[in-house]
Amino acid sequence: MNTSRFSVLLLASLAPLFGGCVTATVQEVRQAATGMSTGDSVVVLGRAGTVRGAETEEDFVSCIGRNMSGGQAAVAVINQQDFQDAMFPWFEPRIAPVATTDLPELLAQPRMVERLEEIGLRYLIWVDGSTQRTDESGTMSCTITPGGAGCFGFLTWEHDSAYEASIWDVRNRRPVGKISSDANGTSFMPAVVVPVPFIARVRAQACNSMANQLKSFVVDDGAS
Amino acid sequence: MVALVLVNLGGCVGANVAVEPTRLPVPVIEPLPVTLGIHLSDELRNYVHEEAIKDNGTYRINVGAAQELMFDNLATGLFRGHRFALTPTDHAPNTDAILVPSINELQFSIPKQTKSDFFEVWLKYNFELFAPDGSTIAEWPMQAYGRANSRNYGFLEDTDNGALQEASRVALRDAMAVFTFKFQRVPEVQRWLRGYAAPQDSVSQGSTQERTQ
Repeated sequence: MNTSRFSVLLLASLAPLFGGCVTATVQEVRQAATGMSTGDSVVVLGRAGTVRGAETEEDFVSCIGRNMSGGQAAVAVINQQDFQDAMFPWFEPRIAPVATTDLPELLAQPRMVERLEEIGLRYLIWVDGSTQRTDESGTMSCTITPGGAGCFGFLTWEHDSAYEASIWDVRNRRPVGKISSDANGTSFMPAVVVPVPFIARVRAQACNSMANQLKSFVVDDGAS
Repeated sequence: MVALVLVNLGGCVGANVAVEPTRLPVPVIEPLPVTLGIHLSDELRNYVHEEAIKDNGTYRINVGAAQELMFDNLATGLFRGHRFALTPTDHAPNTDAILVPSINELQFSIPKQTKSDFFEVWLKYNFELFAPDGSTIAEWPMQAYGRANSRNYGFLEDTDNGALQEASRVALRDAMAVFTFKFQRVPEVQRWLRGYAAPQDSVSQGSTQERTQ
């Protein structure tokens, strides 16, 4: 009896490590050659702030920045908030450029250009999109009695991530490409006494896929 | 742990937030060739909005404490020089005009009210610009908006306090951004500024990028 209880608890605690299934696809559109020189940096910005509009999750944006600045062929990534502070107010939600056609006007500001050169910004990466729960089903009931507690049932839910990154070459004032990352996955939680969650890490998978692709995109060897 | 869970499950908790005077940066812009006095009234410095929302508790938002740093940094970037004035008529010899801001209204909403993920804050400012002789050069209203996504806060985090504070801070940054671009677009201010040699029309160039919220 004790052994079976221990097994159930062990399974419950390890289940999140295995997770549910996630399917991810990444697509790239290149419009111009890219490359990074010594001292160059990139910034990853989430689209945000318009009234009632969708907003890219902060942790997705920071996840991409973290993944791009680590591992093999790491690139220098400026923190989003530090960048917005250094460029204030030009990248505030109400003011930020929405298209590369806005860049020449923005870069006509002498102090902006000075600041950009100080921080060595080469690529501006705008990330748009979000992760939504698209479906859920199943039931689970839990009971607490003086003799103990337990749950019985089965729950399942699905998450769908859709993100697109637009990469702007600030030095050459032009768009250089787009990368989209889509991922979906189903999580489920069976319960026979103890609920055992199998969580599909959809957003994390979309982040990893996009960050790896972005990193190889901006450091492309055929470059500038 | 149990306490944290109870806090999250609890009902009428409301929030009590003060915008910390951080991350309200100096604008990166070519300064206008004027020296301004800025008078912040006690009412503005102590501005607190308190409102009870049925079934959600009382919310208290203190934006007054951040006003001095906000206007200090704003004026540092936007004007050739500035100083804080004790009264709206406290003109030092080298002051070109005195700016008197006030907050007319603060409104906010929480996700339960709007069926969204966002805490939102709207600020309505009013500005008066006085000449050295005490006459009014210009008076204009200004609105600012800030929001914070409740999904950026974890289950065990205090979302009401954290997100409302962030939305208020974003609204103050928005106020600084709007003021930066709007100041010299106010017709009366434009006329007044013509009396001073502008180094270049950098602010009005950038102002075309401002989007309507």
